[in-house]
Amino acid sequence: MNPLSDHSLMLQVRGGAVDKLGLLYDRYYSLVFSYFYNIFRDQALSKDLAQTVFMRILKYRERYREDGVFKHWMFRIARNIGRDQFQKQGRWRMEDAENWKDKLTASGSVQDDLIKREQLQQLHRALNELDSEKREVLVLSKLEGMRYKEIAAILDCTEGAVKVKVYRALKALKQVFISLENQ
Amino acid sequence: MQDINIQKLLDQYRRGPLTADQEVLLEQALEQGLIQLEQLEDLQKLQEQIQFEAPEVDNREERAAFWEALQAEQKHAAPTKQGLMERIFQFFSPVQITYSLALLVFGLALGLWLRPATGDNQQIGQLSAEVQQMKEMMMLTMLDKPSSSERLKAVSMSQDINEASEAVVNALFRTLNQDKNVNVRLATIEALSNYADSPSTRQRLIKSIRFQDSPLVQMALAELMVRMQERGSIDALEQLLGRDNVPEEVKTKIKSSIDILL
Repeated sequence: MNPLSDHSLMLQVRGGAVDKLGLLYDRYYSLVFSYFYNIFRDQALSKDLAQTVFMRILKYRERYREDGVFKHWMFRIARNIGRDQFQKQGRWRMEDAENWKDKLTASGSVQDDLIKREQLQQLHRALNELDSEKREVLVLSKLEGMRYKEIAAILDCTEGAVKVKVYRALKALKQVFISLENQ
Repeated sequence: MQDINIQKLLDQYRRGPLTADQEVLLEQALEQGLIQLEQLEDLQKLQEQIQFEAPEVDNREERAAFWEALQAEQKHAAPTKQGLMERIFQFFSPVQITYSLALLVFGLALGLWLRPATGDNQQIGQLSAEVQQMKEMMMLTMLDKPSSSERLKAVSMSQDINEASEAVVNALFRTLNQDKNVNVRLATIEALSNYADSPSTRQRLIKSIRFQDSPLVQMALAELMVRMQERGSIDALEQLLGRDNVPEEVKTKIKSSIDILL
C-alpha cells in the first residue's frame, strides 16, 4: 500500500500518528471548503464548517474502518455537519450577486454578455430555491473528481439512485428557473 | 424494458411533458442505466451551465490552529504499540498475505523446476532489462501528466525500479523542485531517499531545501537529513530558520533536526 495514500495515512492517524492528519487536511481542505461554500455561499461559515470536519475526524479517528475509504467518510461527516447547520439557520442564505464570478466567453457582443450574465444570475437564484437535498447532490456532482459511484458511497445508495437524484434535482432546477424567468 | 420503449420514452421526453407513469418509467430507466442523463439534452445543458466554484481561501490561521490541535492531541495520545504482525496486517488483509505467500511458494517451485540451462540466463537478463526500461519510460511519461494523481502514481512506480537511471533521478528532482502539488513533492522525497547512498543525490537533496516553500515539504526534508545523518545540510536548514515565512512549528522541527545533526 502506498504509505501516502489517504487510507494509509488515516490508518496511521488511527494508530497514533496524529500528525499525519495534517497531510490529509492540506490535501482536502479546499475541496471540503468548496463543498460548503457552494451550499451556503458564505465564506466565513464555510471555513468554520470545513475546520469542524477535520476536528471531528481527529476526534473520532478511532471510528475509521479498516475497509473504509477516507474521502467517502470525510464527506459523510461533512454532510452531517452541513445538515446541522442548515437546521440551525433554516434557510439558504441568499446569494450575494456581487460575489459571483462571471465566466463569460468572449462573445464580441456586449448585449450577448449582459443577457448571458443575467441568465447565469437567474440560474443561481434558482439554485438557491432548491431544497437542501437537491442542492447538495448537484454540488457533489460538480465537485472536482467526484463520480456518481463516489457520490453513491457518500450518500449510501446505489449509483442508479444517484442518477435519479441528479435527474430530479435538475428537473426541479429547470422548473424554478423557468418560473423566475417568467416573473 | 424493451429498447423500442426506451426510444419512444426519450422521444416523448423531448417532445413534451411526460405523464406521471412515463416519469416513473424514465426514472426506472435512469436507475437501471438504460437511459443516461446525457441523453436528456436539456438537463445536460443546464448541468453544464451550473458553475460551482469557491473563491481563493486564505486558511492560514485555520491551518495553524489545526496543527496546534494536532500537536496537543499528539502529546495526550499515546501511540498504540503495534507488533510486527499488526503493522503488516495494517496494510494487508490476511487473505492478501496468504494469497501472496502461496503465489511466492508456487513461483519458487515453478522456477526451480523450470530452471533454464545456463545459456538461457542471458535471455532472461535481457528481458528483465527491457521490463525495467519500459517501467522507466512509463514513469517518465506519467510524471508529465496534468493530473496530480497520475504524477503520484509515477513517483510510486519509481520505487519498483531496481536501479534507477540518471533520467529517472533527474526527473524525480525536477518533480521535487517544481511540481505544484505538495503531496507529489512529499512522495518524491520518499522515492529519492532510496537513492540517498549516492553522494550526488545527497547534495542535490540538500540544494532542494532552499527551493521549498511548503512547510510540509520543508519538514519532510529536515527529517530525511536526520535519517541520512547528513551534516552537510546544516547550513541549508539554518537558512530556512532565517526566513520570515516559515511557520513556527516548522522552525521548531528544523531546530531539533539541526541539534541532532550537530
